[in-house]
Amino acid sequence: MNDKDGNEIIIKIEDLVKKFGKLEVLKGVNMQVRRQETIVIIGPSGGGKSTLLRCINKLEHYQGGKIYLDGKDIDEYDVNQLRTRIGMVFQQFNLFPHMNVLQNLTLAPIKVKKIQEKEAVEKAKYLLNKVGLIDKIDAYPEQLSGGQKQRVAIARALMMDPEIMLFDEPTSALDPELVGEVLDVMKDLANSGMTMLVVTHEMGFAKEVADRIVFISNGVIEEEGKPEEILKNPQKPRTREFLRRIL
Amino acid sequence: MEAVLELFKNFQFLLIGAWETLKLTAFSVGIGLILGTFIGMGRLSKIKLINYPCTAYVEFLRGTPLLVQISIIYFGLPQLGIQLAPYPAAITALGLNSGAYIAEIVRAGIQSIPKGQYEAARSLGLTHWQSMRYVILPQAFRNILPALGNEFITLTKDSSLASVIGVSELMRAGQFVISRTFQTFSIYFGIAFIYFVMTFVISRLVRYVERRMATA
Amino acid sequence: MNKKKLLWIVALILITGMVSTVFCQTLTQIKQRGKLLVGTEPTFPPFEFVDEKNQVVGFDIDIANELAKRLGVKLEIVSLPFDSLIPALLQGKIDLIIAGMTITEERAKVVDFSKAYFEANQAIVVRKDGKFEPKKFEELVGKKVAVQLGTTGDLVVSDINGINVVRFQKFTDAFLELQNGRVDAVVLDEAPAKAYVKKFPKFVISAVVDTGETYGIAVKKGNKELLNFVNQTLDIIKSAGIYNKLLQKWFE
Repeated sequence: MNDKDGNEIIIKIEDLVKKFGKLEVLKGVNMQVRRQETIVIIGPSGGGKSTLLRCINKLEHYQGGKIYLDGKDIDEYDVNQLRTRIGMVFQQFNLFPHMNVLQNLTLAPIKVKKIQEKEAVEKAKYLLNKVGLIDKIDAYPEQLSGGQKQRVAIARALMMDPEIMLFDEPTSALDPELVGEVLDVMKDLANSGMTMLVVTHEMGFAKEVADRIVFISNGVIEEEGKPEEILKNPQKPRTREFLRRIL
Repeated sequence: MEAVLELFKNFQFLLIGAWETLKLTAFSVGIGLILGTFIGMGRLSKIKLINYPCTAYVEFLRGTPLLVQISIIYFGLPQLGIQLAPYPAAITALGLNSGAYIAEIVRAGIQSIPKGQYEAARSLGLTHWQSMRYVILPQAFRNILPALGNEFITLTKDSSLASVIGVSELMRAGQFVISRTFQTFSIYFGIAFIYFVMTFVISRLVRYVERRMATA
Repeated sequence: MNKKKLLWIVALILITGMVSTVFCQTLTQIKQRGKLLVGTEPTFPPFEFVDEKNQVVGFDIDIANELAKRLGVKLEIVSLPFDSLIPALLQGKIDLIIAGMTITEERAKVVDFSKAYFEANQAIVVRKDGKFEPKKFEELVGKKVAVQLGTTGDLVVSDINGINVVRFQKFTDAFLELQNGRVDAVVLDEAPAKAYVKKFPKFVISAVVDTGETYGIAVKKGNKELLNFVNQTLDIIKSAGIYNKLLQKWFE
């Protein structure tokens, strides 16, 4: 599936509606993600940003609309197969505290993809090198700083060779001095051609790395466009108001 | 004086009974642990067909006396054509009973693990069972170890109820010695002492394992 | 397998299960099994108790051995609390009961008893301080009396109005109550009473009352074949002098 400019569309979201009880969190969201694109999603908290990400890998059920991966409704995929193609990084890292770094990385590839342990370990070492944590391979999560934990969590998601990475406020739980190391890893990843959806408040990152910024407020996409357009010259009053407060 | 002498003379019989008590308890806890893990998970299931029977099981077995359960298994099941000898009947009853209590412990243990752990496991493509087995249960068991230790101790003491269907555990062994020596007080004291040593050792063992897991 | 078939099989299993508990063990079945299952409560010396080798022995056990020997099978003792013996017999857990069990009308409603094999008199045991020495059950009216649950002693004192009966699983517990002064007397069978008082002279038998009660061997109701065999065997061991030898062995 391609868009009108001939770019490959990897994810297409149509009229997505998500309710928690009576509360409507997403009120008909439409969105397309091109392969290798990095989209930064911004907006006030409670606006539905995280919920949107969580619908894409089916951590949340949604009540209306459709999400397509490679042109096929995600409901038609086996849910576990779908999730191996979509990596996710959480605000709270969610490393498994009873396993060391290596075990955190190799569990899913061995159990889900059934690859050999030796191969999984090689791959883990390669990815830990990339995120600069090869010396922590035997450490347990509690022995790591927040930034190190999040870098391990990114490496863990990459172990499954995902085609898309979802980042749900990956630096919000970090001390300010640790934010940079995580953003650097994410930048490298974006530059290597990974398709990424990032919910974040880091405007510097958005400006530098994003191909597109999407502003979500009150369950709808208020505005979207290239970083320079959105950040310098927002069209909608809500976007202006949000950016004024955050910058 | 004679009372003390008789206690020493017959202590070996009490020890044989104590060994039976330990075996009985260990088997029952083993059954209870397996049963309790599955029923505890079943209690958290959103599927009513799984949730309701598991809840009913827990409520029924916690809501009826163990003595009655033992009697039903031994004296009642033959009505359905199931003849169990005293020892298997006792293990069955104690195992089913501790299964209900352990199910509640396991349920609380699973609930004590942050939701993000399960979500992280599922987002990596692990199935529900894989997430439980590799991520949630290992952490839950570490948290519930003290409670499981308590259950082990409770069951050690409760296993004395198996004497009513003739299992020669510590309590019953003691009664045999009393009926021969007529030394009621000293033998009961000896029985109490052995129960205490057993439960004390178990509680120390649990604490040791707990500490080892904490540093791991 | 279709549903109907499955239903039939389940029904069949249930029915055979119930039938097997309704029908009694015939002698042939016991012989096929190779062992005679005898229920007893071995806390009642010298009739049945556990000796220093951790073996169940006693007067009753020797009689049970004679029965098994004559059937050509092994004897297996199933040790149960006294009040569980009749339920166990009814549920087919054991073939017969030999447990110093008094033949009573109540019990005879649910089980069949053999001929009497022992005359059981009841002993009244009190503290040896001379303050209270009843000679008849009637003198126990208004007093607290400890008995072993479900025994003849329990039955006779419970029959008399005005006696405050305290029941225990073990008669040794009843004596503990007597020693602690919480009851005024213990009523139990003569043989164990004698053995106990001999060991503890602080108690005394104030009276032995002939209640005309006798011990019998219980089998499941309607099990004529086994009952006849038990009665014949009792006759044989009495006429062959074995019975008297056993009396000497265990009571003198």
